[in-house]
Amino acid sequence: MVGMAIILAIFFTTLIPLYVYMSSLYGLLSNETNSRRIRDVDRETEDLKLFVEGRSGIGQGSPSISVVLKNTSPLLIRVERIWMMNVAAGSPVGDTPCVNTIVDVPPGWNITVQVNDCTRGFTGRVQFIAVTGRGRLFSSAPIDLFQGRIIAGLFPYTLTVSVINMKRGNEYTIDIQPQGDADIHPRSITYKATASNENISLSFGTTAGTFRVYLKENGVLVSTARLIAPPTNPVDVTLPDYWNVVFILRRVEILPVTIDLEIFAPSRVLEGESFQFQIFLSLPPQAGEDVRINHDRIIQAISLSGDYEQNTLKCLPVEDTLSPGSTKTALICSLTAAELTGNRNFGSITITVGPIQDCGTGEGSGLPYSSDQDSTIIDVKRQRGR
Amino acid sequence: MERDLTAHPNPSYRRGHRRMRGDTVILAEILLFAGVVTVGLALWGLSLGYVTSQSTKLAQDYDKLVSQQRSFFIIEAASLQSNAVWVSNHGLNDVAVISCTIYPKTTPSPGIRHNVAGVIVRASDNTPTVLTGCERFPGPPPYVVEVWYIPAHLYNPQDPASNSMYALVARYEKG
Repeated sequence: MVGMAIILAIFFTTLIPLYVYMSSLYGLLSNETNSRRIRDVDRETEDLKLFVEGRSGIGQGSPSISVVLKNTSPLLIRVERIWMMNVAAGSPVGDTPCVNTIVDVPPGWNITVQVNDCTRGFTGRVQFIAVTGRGRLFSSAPIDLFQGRIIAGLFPYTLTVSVINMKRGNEYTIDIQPQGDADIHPRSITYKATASNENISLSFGTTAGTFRVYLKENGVLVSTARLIAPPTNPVDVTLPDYWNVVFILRRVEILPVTIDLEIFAPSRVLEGESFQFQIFLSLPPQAGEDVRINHDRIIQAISLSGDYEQNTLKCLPVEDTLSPGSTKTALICSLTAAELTGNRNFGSITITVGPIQDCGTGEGSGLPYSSDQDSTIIDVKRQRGR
Repeated sequence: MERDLTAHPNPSYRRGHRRMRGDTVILAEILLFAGVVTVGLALWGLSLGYVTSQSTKLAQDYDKLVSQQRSFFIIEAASLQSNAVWVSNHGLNDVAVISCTIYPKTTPSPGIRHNVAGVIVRASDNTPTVLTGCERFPGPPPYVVEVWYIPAHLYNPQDPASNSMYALVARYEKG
């Protein structure tokens, strides 16, 4: 009886409480897991859209920029903070939240939040990020600001400036000076011409109004004598009635120059020996463009005489293009000296490259470039022991 | 057939044997009772001890599981210039941050670096907490900001290995 009583006591005082305790712990965990699942579902259900709106503020003291929070989810969304991120720098502007007050957005509502304090005076690309109470981040599309104003709304018109027949290597600067209340962005662009007679067209965002457009070449205002059109420099243009300016420069005529051709070969070789020689081309600095080398024409112009083995001339092209003022290897050739016959101990090989009419072709103009001629004599010596 | 007990030649023997036999039964019963009670109490005590220790261990394990379910932590913003990271706690219990790294997305995660000494981020705070001096790994963008944290009451500064066992991670991509 006593043993049975103790067994029952153990059963009721240890095992059953343990079972009850385990069940309650499991119930607690289940509750927490369910709560977490519900929170996660709520979090995933949140859907907030951010739109940036603004007035350009032309002629006003300060522009107006706001973020519209649009709740498209069935839940109330509590926005705890709004950050303004500098997209280029990858950091929050000012290292603090732009808006640090709680904004409740009921389902289906749009709520506008002013962000002028953050954007004031800022230039660059920014993105607004809203942090919700459930721990979601929602971002707007990146927008460009110029001195705290939205560029898209600020400059509704486009002014196009074209420059025709630029000279290779020169720097061209277009300066635009707005008149009165007009505004433009950017106000200056510099471009370096990389080819002869190159043309460019550049676009500028503008407001309506009158603008004075200057064209400078290497920092100096282009004279009217250098211009075919327009008749003056600077030129005034009024948008939106007129929206383009075309500067046509007088074409710089390209005259082909003669390419200097040189043969570099050893002064002495042994009979029966294979040797190499190179053909160099130099383009004078006065040339107005790059020249593409015609290797086949140079190979055809090579003439040989003296003590060499027939059909042993082989040439490989090296460089393809000559730029003004440069010297480059056009060809590397190999040739074999012949065995000396009779009692001769010395012989010679003469390599000549005659004048070539189309040694190269102008890359910009397509004109043929001629080369001068060159000749060299190589001594051939009998090998010892023969 | 009835036995004749009076037939024994020594009458005193008959009387003494009867008295001694009764004493032995009582003693045996007392000993048996004491043994059963002793063993039963010992068994009861052992059971109580086992159940108590198991309950404590179960409570600790469930506490860790429940704490993990209640934790939710996000990275709100990061600065690639100062390597500062702004974080906030949207869970139901406080958390301790133990690691903060910024690494190129094209490289594997550096894991838990134990480079933050248990910065507490409270669940009740409405302002973001700034983590400064996050470890930055070289490489081209985009970057991943990775913060490891554990429930604050589980944080043990003397035992980084046990901290790692219950650590949770929050990540943030940065172009």
